[in-house]
Amino acid sequence: MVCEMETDQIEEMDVEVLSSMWPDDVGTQADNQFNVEKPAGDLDTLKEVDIAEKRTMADLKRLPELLNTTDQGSSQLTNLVRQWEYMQDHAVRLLREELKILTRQREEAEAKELKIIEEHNFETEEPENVPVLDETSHLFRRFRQKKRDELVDSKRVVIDEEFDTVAYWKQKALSLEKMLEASTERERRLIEKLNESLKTMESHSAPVEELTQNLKRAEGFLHFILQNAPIVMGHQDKDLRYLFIYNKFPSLREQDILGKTDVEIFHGGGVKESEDFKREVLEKGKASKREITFETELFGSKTFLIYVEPVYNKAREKIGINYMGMEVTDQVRKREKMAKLREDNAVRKAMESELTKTIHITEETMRAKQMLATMSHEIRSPLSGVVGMAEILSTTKLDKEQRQLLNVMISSGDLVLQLINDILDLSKVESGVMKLEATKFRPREVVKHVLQTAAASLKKDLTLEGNIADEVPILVVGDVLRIRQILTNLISNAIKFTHRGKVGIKLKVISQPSFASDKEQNETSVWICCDVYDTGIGIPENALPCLFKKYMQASADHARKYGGTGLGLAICKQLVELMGGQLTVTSQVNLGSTFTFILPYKVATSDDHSDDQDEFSDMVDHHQPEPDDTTEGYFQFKPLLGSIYSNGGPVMGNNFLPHKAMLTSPIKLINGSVADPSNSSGQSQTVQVENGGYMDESESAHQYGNGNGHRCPSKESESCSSSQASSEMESELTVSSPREEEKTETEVKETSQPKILLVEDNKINIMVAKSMMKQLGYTMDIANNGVEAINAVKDTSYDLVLMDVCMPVMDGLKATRLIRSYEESGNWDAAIEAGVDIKTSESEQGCERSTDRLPIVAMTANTLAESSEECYANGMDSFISKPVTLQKLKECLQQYLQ
Amino acid sequence: MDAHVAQLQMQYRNYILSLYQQGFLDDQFTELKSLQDDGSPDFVAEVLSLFFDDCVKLVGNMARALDQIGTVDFCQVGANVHQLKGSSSSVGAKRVKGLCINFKELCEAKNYEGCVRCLQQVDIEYKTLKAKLQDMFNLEKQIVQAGGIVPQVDIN
Repeated sequence: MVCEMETDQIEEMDVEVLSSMWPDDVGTQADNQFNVEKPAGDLDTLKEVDIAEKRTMADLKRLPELLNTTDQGSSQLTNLVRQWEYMQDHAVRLLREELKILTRQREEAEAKELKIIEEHNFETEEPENVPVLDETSHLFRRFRQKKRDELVDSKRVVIDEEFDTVAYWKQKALSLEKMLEASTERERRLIEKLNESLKTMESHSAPVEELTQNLKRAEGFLHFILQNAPIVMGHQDKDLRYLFIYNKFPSLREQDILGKTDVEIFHGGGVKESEDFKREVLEKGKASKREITFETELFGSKTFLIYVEPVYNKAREKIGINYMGMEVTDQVRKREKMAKLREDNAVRKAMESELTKTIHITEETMRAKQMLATMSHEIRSPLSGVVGMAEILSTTKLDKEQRQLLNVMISSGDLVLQLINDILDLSKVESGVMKLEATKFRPREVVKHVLQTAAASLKKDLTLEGNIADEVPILVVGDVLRIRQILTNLISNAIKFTHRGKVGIKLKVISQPSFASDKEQNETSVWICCDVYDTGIGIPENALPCLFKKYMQASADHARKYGGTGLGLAICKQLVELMGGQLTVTSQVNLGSTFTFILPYKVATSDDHSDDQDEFSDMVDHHQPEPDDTTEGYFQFKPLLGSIYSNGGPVMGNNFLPHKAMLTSPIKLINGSVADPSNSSGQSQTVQVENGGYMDESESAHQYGNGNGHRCPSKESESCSSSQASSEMESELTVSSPREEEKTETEVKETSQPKILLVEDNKINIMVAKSMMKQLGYTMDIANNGVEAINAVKDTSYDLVLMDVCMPVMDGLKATRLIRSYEESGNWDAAIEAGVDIKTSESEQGCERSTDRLPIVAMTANTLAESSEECYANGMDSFISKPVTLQKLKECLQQYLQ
Repeated sequence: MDAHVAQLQMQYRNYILSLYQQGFLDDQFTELKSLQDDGSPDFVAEVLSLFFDDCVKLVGNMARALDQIGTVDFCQVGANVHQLKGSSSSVGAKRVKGLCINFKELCEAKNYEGCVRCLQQVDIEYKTLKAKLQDMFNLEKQIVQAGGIVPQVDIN
């Protein structure tokens, strides 16, 4: 009875296999002998009951007491008593009914006897009958008495029967007497039986036996039901000490549990909670359920659904609790797993949808950006064409109005180009395509040049100044193009929003800023802080945050008033960040703004000027080293006489001497190239340069034979803006001197007109080519075949020959071969040998230029017979495919007429 | 009046476009037109009349050469075809040029029948083009007479 082992019981519950509430391997060996077999299909109930009986453990002394003192206990007893009483009542009722029946039968029998006696008496008056009925005479008398009292009608009957015979009546009296005897006998037996029954009734009167039986049955039933259930039941008193427990943990002995509280028995999580819960129920007096997870050393982690109800005694006083716990660990675990899964699922779904949204947005953005970039690129090419053509158009003869319109066109075109370049820059930076270049450059020069350029197009009464601290290295390494772009952007921005006062650039070296990561730091790098300040309208504080956003301006009002795309600052910021720096701004309304960008540079050794390939090398005259220029830290450009600027700094004097000379000239700074020292230094065509403002720059350069003025126009944003501005300026200036311009233009043409020979037999081709040449501003000589070409070349010094390949008399290939042969040998012997009739009259002239190689360009019909290889093999320099177009011709002329 | 001009201009534009679309002309013709300016207002007409004169002459030459059955001088025919090819290429007479290219190949292959057939086609083709361009010039004339400007036609 002590310490039975709760066996491993596997129950079929739904479809799952339920593990035992208690583990298998607890309990002593001795306990094991009480192990209960697993329930088999056909179970002997009696046997079960027997075993189950043993499984109970209770304080046997206390239990009956408990049953007697508690409500529950007494009600059970009462029930049993009531049931027994009911059964007894039933028995009594049955007996009574039987008795009643018997009594009635006896009365009937008596009545019949009386009748018989009366009849008998009436008939046998003779005394012989009397002795026979001696015994009954008494009864007879009594009946007769009764009859007189009660039965009047029977008297009449008797009278009716007087008509029968005496013998008959004798016989009848005899049979009646027998019947009476039998009846008497029956009555006697019944009385006996009744007595007997009463006796047995007395012996059944004790209900205890029956009650005990019932109790046993109930207990057996409970055990039968509960033996395999994962249920613990118990009763605890007011102090929550166990008085009774069923299905306790197997390793605990009776004395370990009874009389103790939960807290005293178990240790670990949930014990205190269950104790508190029980106490709560006890206090509130209301049964309730709760799920509690236990974490004990004894049986690990188990969850029980606990039901606790208060127990009262008959006086309705609380005396303890009943407690029932069902192990639901698996269910709880499953439930929790489900909940967790559900939760995870929901989270994952949410994340997925979020991700999809993000991906979608990103894709859209990328696509939009890509499209913008593509579009921009697509627009740029034709737009370059438009602007280029407009520039060419501006070199033709136009009247004042046309020129003004054209200038507007060009400047607008430049603006759009600039915008598109900005967009492309931005998308380049954003897509990470933009590559930074590391070139050596002189910060002072950059600052100076930016200011010069800005000053060149300055139309306001502003002072531009540059201030570079002494410690700033002379030569640093960085992406000078981008840095210039940033500076130019910031400066032009500053100028745009400043109406008086000054705009300047300040450079100083600072220690490594906090935002820089350590790995960027090395001993050769230097952080330079660049301030671009102005005394302009300033920026209100609330506009500062969106200042660097794309397409944003401080306000719509400003956008209207000052124009611009709102991309400049965004690009600056992105570029600065790309280079590992930071761009910030401080500003006060009406006082001015300061844009500060901090960038890391590598310090370059300043002695290797030779491979100084930075952008400005061509602008600094290397043949005239100006030591001041590389070390001077202060520049100033003050406004002078409206749109004309001069340099205020002492350093500038030397460098800008030609500009000063120009100030005395009636026509002043027109082209952005004026600010370019190399272009203007020592050049005699200063005046022509002004006119060059109308011309394609490379073309004019060619015409002037300016060898080192190899400048690419409109590549830099500032040259765009400056040429735009200068064009605007020029429209005013040219009004004053249209005549002069015209003169110089024709002059130029006369002196530099190149001589071109076209060798072509097809009249129509000649006509078309001639017209094209005219359009491009050239004239040319014509030769109809190879022989004529040779003669022409012999007589005249040509700058270019355009040679048809397939011609009658002599084809282009042969003619070219002969010309090359002449160039090598200095005589036309080969040509004479080939049968060309050489006129020797002017051979001297030919000899003069025999050292130069005459550019000969083939005109081929792109057929197999006229392959380019053949052209080259025969000494031609390049070829144009037919039909000749204006564009092809122009490119060809640009290539060879320099 | 203006409406009339506009209508004529529209008609002209459509007509030019159809010439391009039907392959009579190509970009070189545009090039040719772009060369016509105030300095040479009849440039296109001049070049074209020269071209058609050339056509008459060259086709005549070739027809004569091909008439010499048995002793056809394919070289001479080839030279003529080459000339015609160059001319047609220069003025943008696309169909004529295309025929000339075929013609030249046939000529080099000394394919007499092919040459004759091609010559006939060239003859038809240049005459058709001539008529078409005649119409074009007429339209231009009408526009100018009506006080309008001959529009630039962007064939792209």
